[in-house]
Order: sequence, then structure tokens, then C-alpha cells
Amino acid sequence: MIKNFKNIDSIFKSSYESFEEEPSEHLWTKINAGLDKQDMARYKKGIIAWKRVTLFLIFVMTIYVLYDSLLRNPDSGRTVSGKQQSPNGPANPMNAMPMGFVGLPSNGSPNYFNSTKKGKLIAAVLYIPAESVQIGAIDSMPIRMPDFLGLVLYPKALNPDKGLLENGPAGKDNLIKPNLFNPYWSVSALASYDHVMYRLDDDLPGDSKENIENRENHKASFSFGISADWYFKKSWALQTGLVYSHVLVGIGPQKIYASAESSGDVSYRYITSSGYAFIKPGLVNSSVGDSLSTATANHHLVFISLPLKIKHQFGIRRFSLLPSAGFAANFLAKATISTVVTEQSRVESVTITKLNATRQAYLSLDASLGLQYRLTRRTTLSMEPSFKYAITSMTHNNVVNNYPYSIGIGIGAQMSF
Amino acid sequence: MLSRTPILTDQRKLIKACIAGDRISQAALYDLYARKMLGTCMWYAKNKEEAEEILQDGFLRVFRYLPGFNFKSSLENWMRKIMINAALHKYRSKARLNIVQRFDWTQEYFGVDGTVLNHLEARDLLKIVQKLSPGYRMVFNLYVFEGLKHREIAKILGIAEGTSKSNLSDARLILQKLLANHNGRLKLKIDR
Repeated sequence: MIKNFKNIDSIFKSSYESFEEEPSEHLWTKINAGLDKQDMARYKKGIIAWKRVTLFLIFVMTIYVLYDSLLRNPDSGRTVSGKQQSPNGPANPMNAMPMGFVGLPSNGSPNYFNSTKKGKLIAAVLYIPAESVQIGAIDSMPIRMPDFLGLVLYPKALNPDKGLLENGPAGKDNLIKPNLFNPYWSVSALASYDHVMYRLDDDLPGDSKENIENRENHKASFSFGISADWYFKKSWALQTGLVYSHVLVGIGPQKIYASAESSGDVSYRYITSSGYAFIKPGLVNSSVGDSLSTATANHHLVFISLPLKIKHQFGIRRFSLLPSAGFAANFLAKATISTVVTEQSRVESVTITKLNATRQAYLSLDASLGLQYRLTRRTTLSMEPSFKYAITSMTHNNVVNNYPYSIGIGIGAQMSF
Repeated sequence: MLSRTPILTDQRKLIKACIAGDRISQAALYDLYARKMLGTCMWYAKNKEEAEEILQDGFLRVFRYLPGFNFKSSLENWMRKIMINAALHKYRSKARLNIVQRFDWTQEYFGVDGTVLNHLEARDLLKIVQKLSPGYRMVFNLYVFEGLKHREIAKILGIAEGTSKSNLSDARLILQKLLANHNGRLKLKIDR
């Protein structure tokens, strides 16, 4: 019997450290499937998290709006200036009057016409000529309660250049003036999560659309961009801009076959819904009819879109609903496919950077329903469900015609000028 | 147009790509370490099928926990630990570690010729270890291969420290017996 256990231990240990074993060929496929499941679980978790965040934001915004509307001031936070009425604001200046508007600035000193802040109306009132009826009221009332004065004099006080100072005592004609609409621009930034799908039509022989649909699945896609709205009427705008869209398509394993290119070279043809590519792996010397297997692939498509839409605005207090519809020209900026080609035990990774039979641009219908919340006179936050549907195919002379469509939900911010 | 991506040799880049979820890089990492890791798993399993199940679970854990890898230790050692944890998890989930009975065993003299022992290949030694019951195998592996103390092994396996010591002792005696049997067969081969 070996008394020295350490001797045995060391022999076992050295064997343990040096031992290697070749895994079965199908093992990576199982791990790959497991990773797909993990990705899906993570994706679902992410969706749930976003749902929670969205619900929380909606809840917070609702509470804030209720507080702002009912408990604080009906019009608090609405700022005005002598230059121009708010794009989203009321046409009638009386609507912009600060109903709950009281008090002096915190330092107690009146501030004159150069301010758009709250609490500085008293100073404006002090410019009213002595014969004005309201002057007496100021003298007789506590200075902390000039509400009705503010209500009456606010528009003039904010526009000293053309207001009471020039036109004399406040009268009905001076106090209420119709607000003439001036066209203006607003710029938005929007980021959107898109669920992209496609409609395939058989075009040329080579593979069936069912096979392609079975091996391809769209993954999380997103888009972001800027848009410019030109409000040519108070509630109507034309919208254009630039949108960057990234679409990710997972492609399952497939067998690819060698065929002759137009140049005479023999290459393997890799077929996707958005075009096909010829690849020449270095694994084998191929001849027409040979086949290779490919692993799962990631297919990235990047589009730059140029939309042109018409937009209508319905406003309720700080909220606005903005349905819009139009067209978009979608330009293909980049198309890549990354996969692994296997030949028996040999593996080679390949990246396809150019697809054949893919159009450089396609047209789509664009529609969206934006919900905006006005934060300040110039800035708004928006949430915008959208729908896009291709009216021309993004492929030409491919085995299938591909009409992509997507449903998206975006959030963004807008600034008016 | 085709451009071949070179095999990623920079480990840091490879890890980052794996963390980003790039399946090709994950496949490359698997190709790099699968043989070694399966070699480790084999010692903790009773056969290759079981070892591959551990390896599969282990690699899924590796990709899940890779964002937490801090590059301070070697990736291979880190992965090896994950594989061992996957093996422990497998055995824990199947409640195979509840060893309450000691090895029934008559003391006899097992002559193991040290010279012959040196002729044994790693695969022969592996087969011998795989013949141990799961509990004995775990204690033996953790003590001998991973260098853990009985206190640590007891905590990991959820057994008493004394049980860990006795399991190790029994495992060694069984291994000697198995080695002796193997030794006899091997000696015959050498003599011929």
C-alpha cells in the first residue's frame, strides 16, 4: 500500500491539469440555443423594466399635471414675453392672464418690464397713468392682492413698447387685442424602439419565402433622429428631418451552394430576404454544386430616412395630440452579415459587407400619433407611437421582394423658435 | 464582396465582444477553451455525457457572468472555477451528495507499484476517479485538485467537516484499490 498519499495526489493532480477532451460537435449548437433563450429572457426583462419606467413617468406626470392644474395655479409656469405668443399658447391674450398671480418678487422690490418671470406684475401696473381707474385700486388695496389688476393689465404691461405707455389709459380696445399667428419652426429629437417585420413576395426561384421566413427573425431595432416642423398655421405643420434606423435580423443556419458568378468565379451564394451575397471561404476549393453549412448569423441593416409628413395639433391645456401622416424615402446606408462557415471540423468566420439585389432606397408610408406635454413655452416632451409600411420593395431581382414595416414607440423633446 | 475577419487573438477584445453578445466571438471563446474545460468537467462527472451537460451549463454561466470578470486572474482559471461550480450545482440539484454511510471496506493490502503508476495515462486515472461515488469524487477533487481545506469543502457541499475528512480518506483508499486492480492488468500488459 502506498503510504504517501501526496504521491498519489500529485499524480492525479498533474493528470487533472493536463487533461483535455474534445467536445461533441453538436455541443455548441446546444449552448447557442441556450444563449438564445438567455437573450430572450433578458429582452423580456428589459421590456418589463421599460414598461415600469413608462408607467411610473406617466403616473408622475399625471400627478404633476393634476397638482399644477387644480391645486396650484391654472396657468402657473406659463411664461410670456413681449415678443411673440407661445406657439402652443392661446390666441387670445386674455387666455394668457395670470389668474393666480400675486405678490412682489422675493426681495420685495418691483421689477420693471424686462422680466417674464412671475410675481412682477405690480411694477407694470405702476406705469399706468394716474387717470386710470385701476390706480386708485392699487392705492387702496393691499399690495399682495392685485389679482384683478394683473388680470386686466397683464398683456399691456408685458408689451410696453406698444402697450399702455403709448396708447394711454387702459381701455377695452387696448386690453384685448387679437393675436396674429406668425409661422414658426420647431425642432424635435426623437429616439424610438421599433418592432420591425416584413412582407415577402416570391420573385425569383432559388429559395422559397417560407424558408426565408422560417430562418430569419427580427430582433430589437431602434431609430433616432431629428425633425423640423414648420407650423404654417396654428395647428398645422409640415414635418421633415433625418432619421437613423438600425435593424437587426437573426438568420438561422443554412446550407449554401456554390454557383458561378457572372465573372466566372465559383462562389457560395448566401441568400437573405434583403438580398444575396457571394462568399468565398478559404476552407475549400469549391466547384459548382458544392455545399457548405453556415451557423447563425446577425444581419445588420442601417437606413437613413427622409420623411415628409403633415401634422395636425389638438391641444388641451398642456397636452397636445399630434396625428401625422406622410411618406419617407429610406436610403440603405449599410448592410452587413456576420456568420461562421463550417466545413467538417474547420470553421471560418465571414463578414458580408455588400448585398446584391438590394435597392439603394425604398419608399414607405409613415404615420404617427404624438402625445406632447408642454414643459415651458418653448419646450415640450413627447411620446410617439408610429407605423411605417414600405410601398416599394427594398429588393430587386432577389428570390423574394421584401416590404418591411414596423411599429415603433418613441420618446423625444421639441423646441420651438 | 467578402472580408474575412481575423480570429480574435486579443483576449480583452474577445471578452468585450462576448459581453456585447456577439455570437461569433462567443463561438470563438468556446472554441478556444472547450477542450480544456471539458477536460476539467470530466473529472467531476461520471462519464462524457454528464461532463458535456456540465460544460454546457458552465459556458452559459460564463457568458452570463463575463461582465463581472475583472481581468485580474487568468480567464482560464476563472472559467475553470465556473465549470466546477456548474458541476457542484448539478450534483446538488440531484441531491447526490448526501453521503451518510461510510465506505464498507475490509482492510487489505493494496500493492501499488509506483513505477507502474507512472505508466498510467491521464485517461486511465480519470476513469478510476470516475468510478468513485459522486460525493467521494467531489471531496477528493476539491481537496486534491483545487486545494481547498476541509472546512471550505464542508461549507460548499453542505456536509460536516468530519464527513469531508472521512470521505477523503475513503476516496483515497478506494482509489488505491482501483489502482491496484488496474495495476495488475497493466503489469500483465507491460510484461508481455
